[in-house]
Amino acid sequence: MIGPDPIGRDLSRDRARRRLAAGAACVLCGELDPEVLAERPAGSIPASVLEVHHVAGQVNDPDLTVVLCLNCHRRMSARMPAYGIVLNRAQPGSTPERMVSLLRGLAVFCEQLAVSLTAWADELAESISTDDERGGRS
Amino acid sequence: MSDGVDIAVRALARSITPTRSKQRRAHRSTRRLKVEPARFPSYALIFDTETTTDELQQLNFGVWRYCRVNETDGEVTLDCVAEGIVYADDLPTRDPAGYAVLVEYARTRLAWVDRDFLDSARGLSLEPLSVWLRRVLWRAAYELRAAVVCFNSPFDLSRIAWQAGETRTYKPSERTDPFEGGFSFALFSYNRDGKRRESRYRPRVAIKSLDSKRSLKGFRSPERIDDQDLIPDGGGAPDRQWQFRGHFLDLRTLVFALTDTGHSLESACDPKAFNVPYVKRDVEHGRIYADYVTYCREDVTATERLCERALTAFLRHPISLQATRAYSPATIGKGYLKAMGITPPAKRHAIDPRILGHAMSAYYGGRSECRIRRTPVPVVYCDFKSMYPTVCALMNLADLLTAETIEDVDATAEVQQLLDQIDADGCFGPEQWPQFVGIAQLCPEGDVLPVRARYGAGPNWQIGVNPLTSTTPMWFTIPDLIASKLLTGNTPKIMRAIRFVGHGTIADLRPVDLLRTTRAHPAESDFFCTVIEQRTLAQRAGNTSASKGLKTLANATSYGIYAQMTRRELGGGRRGTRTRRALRGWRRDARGARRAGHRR
Repeated sequence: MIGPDPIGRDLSRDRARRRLAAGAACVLCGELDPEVLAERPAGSIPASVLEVHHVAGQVNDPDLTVVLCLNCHRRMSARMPAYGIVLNRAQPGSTPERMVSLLRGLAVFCEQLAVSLTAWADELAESISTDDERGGRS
Repeated sequence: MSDGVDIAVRALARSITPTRSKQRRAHRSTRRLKVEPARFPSYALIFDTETTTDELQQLNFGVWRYCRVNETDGEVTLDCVAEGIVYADDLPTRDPAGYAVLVEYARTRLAWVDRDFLDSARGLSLEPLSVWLRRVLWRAAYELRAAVVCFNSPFDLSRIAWQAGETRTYKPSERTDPFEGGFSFALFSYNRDGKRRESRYRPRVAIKSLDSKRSLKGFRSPERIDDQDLIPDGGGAPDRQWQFRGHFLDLRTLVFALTDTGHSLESACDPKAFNVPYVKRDVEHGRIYADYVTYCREDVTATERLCERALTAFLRHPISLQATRAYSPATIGKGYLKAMGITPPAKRHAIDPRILGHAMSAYYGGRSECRIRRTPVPVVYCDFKSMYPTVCALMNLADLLTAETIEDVDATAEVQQLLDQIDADGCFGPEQWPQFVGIAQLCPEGDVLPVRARYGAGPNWQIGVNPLTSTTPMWFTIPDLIASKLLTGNTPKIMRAIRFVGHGTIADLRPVDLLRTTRAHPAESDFFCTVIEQRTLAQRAGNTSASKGLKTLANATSYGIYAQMTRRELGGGRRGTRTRRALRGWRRDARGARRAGHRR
């Protein structure tokens, strides 16, 4: 049965958290999400920090892609199986099965997009109010 | 006239050599920083089972809910993100009609989950026990370390086991096992050559019942453990010495610890207790039909709500105790003492073990008496408010509790003089009570005193307060001797008396916030008085939950916890090396000492 697996999702996050020290965070951006803070051997820096993310999973729709940073790409990919999106198939899935993954993938992506847009809006609003206090408008 | 009966007294039993576990703990503390575990896990798996009604009480089916635990402003909420039904593996053949009901029920109903979570499973899952154990219980309870919550866990956990036996300790000569004498349940299995075999890589669950409300529960050690399951709470590298024992929460026990009252699920949900909306359906047990399944789902949902309320009440206590280890009000009381920096007196004072043995033999607990029996007489109901903490306050026992050192002083002449002069009116003078702190030795001559004996033909030791004559000197508390004088009019003739006097104050005492509201500092005020005063204020303000919580705390810290008996089974016919000190010349084997120490 294809369906969300909340226990699997929590298990994946918790194991990632357990591997890290308490209160671990990224030294560059302050990221706290344990799914993003993967341990990497020294010197194994990826060639690019921008990657192509397949919104519905490559096996379901190879063309539907967006560009994400490494952290966001990892976060999205880590979440997808727990939301019932099939990422590995030996045989191509039937159209309804791929549609289920596509819809779920879009839902996960839109949820994250909503969070990002809200953060952008908050930052913009704060910037406007700071400018107002200084007496200048841009 | 009776020929006399055997009597028993409590004894002080001390291990001559430290146990292996203590040695290991001491060793470990030097090499690793201790991380204080969370008071409750972030996830909870709640389940309940329904069984056949015959003597086997076999599992028919059960309902489970998987929740995420959140705490906001002191309020705990459980957000359910998955729900399902689990049925016995043999149900389709044993009860095809019942199985068909479950299939139809799961097909036509949605799960009662929190839909604010995008990843919540909307469908009501239905799976056989063997699959559920692997997919849900193993992953949630062991790999994720979620709390396993039930109301009366021993029953439900035993229903999902396929094999049971007695617990076994692999190296009995090296360590003591808290589960010795308990049950060991095999949950996980696999099939090979058509035969069911126990999984060696997944742990058994051990349960040892302490009494009707409390039991120890924990995972045993499987043969092999994945490295990631060896990472202790708090993170870090895998530690081969560390072992995950599980977070088993029996709500029946937690509710008892919080209220000092034994509850059923229904009575715990009552408005006078935890106020959870719940009406128990009237159903026929044993036969599977739709309403019966709904009844079970409602039971589990009520358990979830009760868990929220009980955890909220528990987390209001500013102590470091984990909810799964709150076995009684006394555990919570001890948590407060620890939070205030009050260490167990035995660890602070070098009182001669013989004196402690005498004190233990004088300890009988609370008493109730009936002087006129089987004769109808008019009565007046009279309630003594907060008896235990009031007595503690009158006797200034808080000073002894926080004293830097305690000294035992011979006070034979003073105590005899006190006994000669005291009468009922004298007991109304609070200034007299600090003199009552101590014990005295005598050969009772018809004095009315507490005694532990085998009354009648039964095998049980019981405590009675009756005329006692003995040629063997015995120890009693000074208040018991005063009570004897008030009852008989005769002054007990003592041979020796010891008073306990405190000196100084513990240097690093700390304040605590009672139920996170009122500050109490043991160095500045009498802790027992503060708790009772706050309880009265809460009562006047109509804050029933705070009032009940403070009442439980007051009783827990003022009665019983300073004379703790930690029972350690030797098992397998082994004999341990213990020293016992009580009455001079008395020696009993370990089995006899345990029997004598049975608590009323």
